[in-house]
Amino acid sequence: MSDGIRPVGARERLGPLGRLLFDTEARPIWDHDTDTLSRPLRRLRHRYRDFAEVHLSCQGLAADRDPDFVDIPELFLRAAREGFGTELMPPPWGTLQITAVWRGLLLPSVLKAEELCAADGGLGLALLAHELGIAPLFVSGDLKAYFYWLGRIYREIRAGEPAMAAFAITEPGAGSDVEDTEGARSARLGCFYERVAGGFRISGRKVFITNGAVARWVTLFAAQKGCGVETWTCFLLDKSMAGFEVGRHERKMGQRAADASELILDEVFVPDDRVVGEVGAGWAISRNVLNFSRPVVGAMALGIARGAFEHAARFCNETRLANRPLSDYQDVQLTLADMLMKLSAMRATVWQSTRYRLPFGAAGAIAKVFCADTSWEVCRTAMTLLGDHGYVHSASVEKAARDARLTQIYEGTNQINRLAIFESQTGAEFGSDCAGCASCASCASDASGASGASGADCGSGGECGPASPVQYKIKTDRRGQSE
Amino acid sequence: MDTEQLNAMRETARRFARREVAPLVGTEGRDGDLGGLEGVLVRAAEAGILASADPDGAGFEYGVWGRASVQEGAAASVAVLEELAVECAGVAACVHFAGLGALELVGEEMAGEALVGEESIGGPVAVALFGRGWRVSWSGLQTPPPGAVHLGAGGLMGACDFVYGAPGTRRYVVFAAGDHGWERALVAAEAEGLTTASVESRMGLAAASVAHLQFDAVGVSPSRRLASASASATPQAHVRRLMLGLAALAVGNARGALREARRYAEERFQGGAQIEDHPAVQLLLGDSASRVAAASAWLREAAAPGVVPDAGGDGDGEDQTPLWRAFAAKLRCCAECGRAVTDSLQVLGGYGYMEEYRLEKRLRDAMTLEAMAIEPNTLRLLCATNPGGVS
Repeated sequence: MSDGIRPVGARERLGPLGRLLFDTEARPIWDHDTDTLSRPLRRLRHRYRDFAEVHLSCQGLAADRDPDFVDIPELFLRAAREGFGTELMPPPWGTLQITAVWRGLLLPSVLKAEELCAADGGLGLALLAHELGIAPLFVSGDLKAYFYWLGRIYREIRAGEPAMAAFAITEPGAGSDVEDTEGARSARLGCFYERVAGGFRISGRKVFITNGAVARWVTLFAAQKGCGVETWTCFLLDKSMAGFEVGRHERKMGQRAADASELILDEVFVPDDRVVGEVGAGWAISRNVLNFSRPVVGAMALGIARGAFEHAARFCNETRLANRPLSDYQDVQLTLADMLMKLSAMRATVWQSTRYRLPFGAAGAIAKVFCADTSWEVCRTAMTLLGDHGYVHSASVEKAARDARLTQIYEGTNQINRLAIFESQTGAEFGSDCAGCASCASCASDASGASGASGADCGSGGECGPASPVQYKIKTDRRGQSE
Repeated sequence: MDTEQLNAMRETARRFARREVAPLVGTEGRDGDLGGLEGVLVRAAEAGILASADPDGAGFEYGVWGRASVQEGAAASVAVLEELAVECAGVAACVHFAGLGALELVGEEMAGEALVGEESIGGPVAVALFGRGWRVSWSGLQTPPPGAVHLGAGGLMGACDFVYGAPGTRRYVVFAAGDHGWERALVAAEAEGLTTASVESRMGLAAASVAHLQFDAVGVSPSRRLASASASATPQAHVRRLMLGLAALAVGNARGALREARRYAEERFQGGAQIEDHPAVQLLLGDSASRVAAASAWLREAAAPGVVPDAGGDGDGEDQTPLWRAFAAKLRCCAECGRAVTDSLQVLGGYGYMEEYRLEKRLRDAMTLEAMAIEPNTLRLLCATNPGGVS
């Protein structure tokens, strides 16, 4: 192809105005996308990337081989010194930039998640899980939790203490159950509280808790003894509480730098002032935390895929086959272009999910599912592009693939998230004119299923109340068939 | 080999895998008890599953890639590999790679003495074909491409990357560019001028060994130059077996994953019902099962004896399977089975991602299989440019 035919050469034949309208500059899409952000967000995005490249990239592979290689609390403090651990409160308490969240509460979070995970999925998770841990203090709308407890945690961090937080909802017999309305009705819960003088006593176990071993603070959800998830209450615990222990550490396929641990509670006394929100409001808080966190998981998946793409692209430029760079082969170009296209689609989905006034179920779940599935595809493609080099640890793409796989599982499996999309849009895309009756199947099911998760008498004298009805109503046509 | 014999071999392999391989995998450690691998391979040799170049060896005739596979086709070897991989693809890979090496020595005049003498019994042989910087092509399989190892008066020169073998590999059959096109030479791992670098820290198939070989004027005595007349000892024949075997490992691995997912779905509860009763899980299981069935059917067709070669086959008059079908089998089986394994893992949710449930190991193995030897893009190009046309 002659230079006159290439876009850059052809542009020169245009007049000044035509040249202004014809962008042929060879810049990464990352730069183009950054240009679309406000100035504070542009700065933030660069700072996140710089931090990740300096502190995460160089340690990722070693941390994957040996999770103890990196001192996570120390890494967290380094991030905190950059202002990246206290972004849920404005100065002087925290480092939230009001101008950065003007167009969307979550946009800084997803920018950060992409950059950290592009450098390393495991270390990125370890840093980001802290924000998930403190999210209930913000999302609950409980001013005491926000100003007193979150303020205290941030004070500790500013004082140089690694006051990391973890979020604990998953239980041995209730993983997806507690992330889905239908499953929650009959979830077999295993972490309960009892009211005692001055507070609560909590016993039970939580599993797969990210940062469970290193976190000082834990937002933990427990149900009233004998009751279901409708009595779920969110508590803020700290590790110094008597009876609160860390159990086994899971051996994971990927994202190994971030620990996934079991938390064991043996009659842990929790004072009244550690209730986040209201007693019984835990289910609502956890659902809304997921609305806020799922776009971030989508961004993490995007970041991991971007990391894999960057490694693959570099490999294709540096590796020669039959005396030509791999990137000279058209089939390789097609594959790399396909990966880049998917990255762009993922970023568009994630950013779009942050532009709503408030995060909501379908938006978060769509971002999470689409990006997790696509990230997995991109990482697999990166692996196969490298051929035999692809499965070697030092090439990094196999690690990215292992890391990406987890995004299809946590924050609700992608199957549960698909159901969440349906549930969120019931009454809209999947709506029905029925406002609730006793005759149609879905309403009758709601009514019969509204007696609490266990269905047993919890002894609360009805205090726990009915579960929130879920309105799955399939729109039917005149013959009664679902559309 | 008729169906009854084939089924009997399959059953023998299945019993061996359950008895010997499954305990090795266990639930501890990232990839199981690899310390016990050598013993399992010895017992596989005794049982006639592991091929031997020694005419007195139990697996000489009907071991995986034993001599019978040259005349009777790949079906039996593929079936045995598939059954082994149901329990562990890594162990099956060791049997596969060791079989490929042994077969290169079968029929050599010196086999009974120098080649398969005391120094080699029980010691696996690996095959080195893919030269550094060589992209596999039809013409390259016929005539050595520039990246191939060179065999001249000064010995072997060049490099081969990613040479697959079983643990303890002590010798290599090297395909090299000689005066008359592709030639084969047998070299010891300790040969002067040969540098071997083991590829450690891999994603999957941890039981197998993978090495880079660098040849710097490695001397090859006339007795170590293997006969090149046999059509079963060409690069095409080796690659065909390599591809079919990897496809078999992918299918067996996916069958095992599906089995584990079904077992979990039958035992565990969620939302007040058994997991298997949830449509979301049924979709995953159904999709996995259909993919495994499709891959299995394709593999059996590709490995079936007596397939009339089309123009794309090498027409060697012995193993009649057209080569492009082997490429297609590796491409499709690895892709479909990889998807089946990841869907099976999803059935277990968070537990599937944890080492002790072994689904994550199967996924690592599946992904390794897909990327290794000849990666998907090259396989697609090979299928598209099949000299006989895609039929």
